[in-house]
Amino acid sequence: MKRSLKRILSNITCLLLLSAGSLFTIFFFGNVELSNDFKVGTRYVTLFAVILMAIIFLIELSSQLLNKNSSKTTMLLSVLTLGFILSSRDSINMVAYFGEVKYPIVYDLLHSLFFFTAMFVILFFYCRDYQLDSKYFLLIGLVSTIALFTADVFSIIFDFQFYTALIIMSLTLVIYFTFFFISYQKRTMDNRFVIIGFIFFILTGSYIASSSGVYFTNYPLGLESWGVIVIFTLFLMIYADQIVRMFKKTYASQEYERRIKELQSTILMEQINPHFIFNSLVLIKSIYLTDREKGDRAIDLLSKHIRANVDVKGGKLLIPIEEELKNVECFVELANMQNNEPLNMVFNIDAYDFMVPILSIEPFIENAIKYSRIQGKEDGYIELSTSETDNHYVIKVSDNGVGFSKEELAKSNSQGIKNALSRFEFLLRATTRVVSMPNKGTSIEISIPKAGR
Amino acid sequence: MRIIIVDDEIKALQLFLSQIVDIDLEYRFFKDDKAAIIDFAKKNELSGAFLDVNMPNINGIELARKLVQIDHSIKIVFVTGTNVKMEQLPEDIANNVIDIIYKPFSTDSIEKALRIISKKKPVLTAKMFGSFDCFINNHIVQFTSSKSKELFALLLALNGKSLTMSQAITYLWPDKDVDKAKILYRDAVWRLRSVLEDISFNCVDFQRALLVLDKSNIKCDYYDFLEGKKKIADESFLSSYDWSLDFENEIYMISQNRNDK
Repeated sequence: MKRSLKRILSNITCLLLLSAGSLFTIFFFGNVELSNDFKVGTRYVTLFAVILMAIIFLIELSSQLLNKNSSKTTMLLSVLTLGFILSSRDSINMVAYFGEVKYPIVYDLLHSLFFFTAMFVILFFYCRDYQLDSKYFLLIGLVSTIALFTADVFSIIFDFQFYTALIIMSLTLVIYFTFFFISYQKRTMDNRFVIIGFIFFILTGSYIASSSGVYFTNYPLGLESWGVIVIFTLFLMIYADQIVRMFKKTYASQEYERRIKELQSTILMEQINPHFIFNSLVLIKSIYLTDREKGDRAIDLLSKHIRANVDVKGGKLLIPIEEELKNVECFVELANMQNNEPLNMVFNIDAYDFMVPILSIEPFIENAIKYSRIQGKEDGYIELSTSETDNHYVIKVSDNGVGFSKEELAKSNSQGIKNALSRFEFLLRATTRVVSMPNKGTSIEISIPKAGR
Repeated sequence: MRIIIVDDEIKALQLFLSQIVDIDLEYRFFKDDKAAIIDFAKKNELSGAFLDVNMPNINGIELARKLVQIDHSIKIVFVTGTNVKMEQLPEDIANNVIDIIYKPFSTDSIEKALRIISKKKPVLTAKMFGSFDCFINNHIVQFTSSKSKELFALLLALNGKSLTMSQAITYLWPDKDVDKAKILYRDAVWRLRSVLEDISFNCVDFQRALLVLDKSNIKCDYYDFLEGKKKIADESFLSSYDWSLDFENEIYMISQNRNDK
């Protein structure tokens, strides 16, 4: 609750700052009597801004042509921003030095068109790239953008720009709430999300200033040019972000592949336990002397056990929990056939339908059978339980055997257990905990975060 | 129903097939004579084919492709020692492959595949008077714990009515404290689920803290008795379980009514 309150407050603050900033710009710049020198200087600033935006547009266009996966959003935004600055009053100021501007109203109309299209592109970007579940946002955005654009066109034609600021403010609200909604729903916002948010603020701010400013006071000359120069730096930030991400990704995937190969080989090495297999074979031979059906059963169990091991070689790393439980079951049954005192194994299974690393639970059971010495105990048991919370699946393996002290645990903890735990941590980002008390038993708890959380 | 079997090691399969009695089956063995196999497939209508994947002279997958081309409805079963997976099969034969059986195979797996080919659904037979036991295709069903067996008996006795966790606990673990009983209940549920999956007879809908039995394809002396096909209860109902007394009364009443008539 506290966190959501913070979010709401920070969003409202942003909105107030935007409005205050726009109003401040309008009145501050508007009341200054502009000298001719200033107008000439602004001309160069505008030219500079146009050139910068054209460069961005070329970069975007070429990346679009060369790499089909590149984003269309940034390309559209760059071309719209270029149009935006070319049709602004700064441009009229620039062109006026070369000759007379015949139809300034055409500039205004184009300006409005570019602005509203850019707004819709940004809205679309938020809805699509951040998988906003509700399609209504897009629909409301489209309808209100068209409506506001129409209203804006009328106000330009009939020279009625008094209300334009209010109109644009309402569109701002629509987009803003989409933005807000996404940032509220998804906990993670990436850099691109924020940078495009900034572009949105700058475009809106300068458009409000330029269109309504004219009505109230003078046009704040040069404002839009400076805005576009800032947008240019924002684009540079997007590129920097992309490059950093690309490097991270290649590095991470290389690292990932290396780890997976390593994991596969370690599982293979430790799991195929010849001692166990030969013991089983000797056992099967003796069973066949007395009970043919039981012998068949033992062969089925052993071949299932070996097959589970061979599957690792096939590259499978994750399997459904049900399958792993069956591996455990078959291992326990086989082990019980070898021992005179059968093991009391309890499956306290309350959660199904999630994935675990292959052969990742079996080592715990194997370890418990080996070290806990529960088989000598009257009421000894191993309990394997799965359960589910809102955000996690929890697997717990516990026994009431001899347990270990901390020092023993650190020393004797077998490699098999360590590897199994690290596979849980690496493949599923699980958190693991091993608790052992002398004479009370050992318990291993693994909690796996649910996907998409 | 006619099938062909293509394998190097014929002996073992022959033994298994001879054990399967209740499916009308005509089978023919081939070693690795590709021409003869294709010739036979063209002249005779085949329901299914059991093929080894790695054979000295032919590739099982290639052969399957040929057979599918001859007859689109043929059902293929691969019998293999290597690690072939369903999802690795080429697309053009994937739809026809109904199962992959790994060596060493069991009678059950062969029988399961044959049943799918013959479209014959397996029937589970339960004996509920006297001591409780279940049979599938004349083999006894091996439960991995006595309580999972008892739980299944209870589900059968409830005759299609759903069973909640608390009900099950009052029947099966009346003297255990609740937390302990819940653990034992889940253990029994998991083991029952696992056994039913092993025999591919998924007649129980496992919901959260609720079990529902689907009675179709279950043959049971108790149901015969309720429907009147079996006239008298000659043995005591589920003699080894304490809770059977609850049902015994009803059975007694029905028997009395029948006797009066």
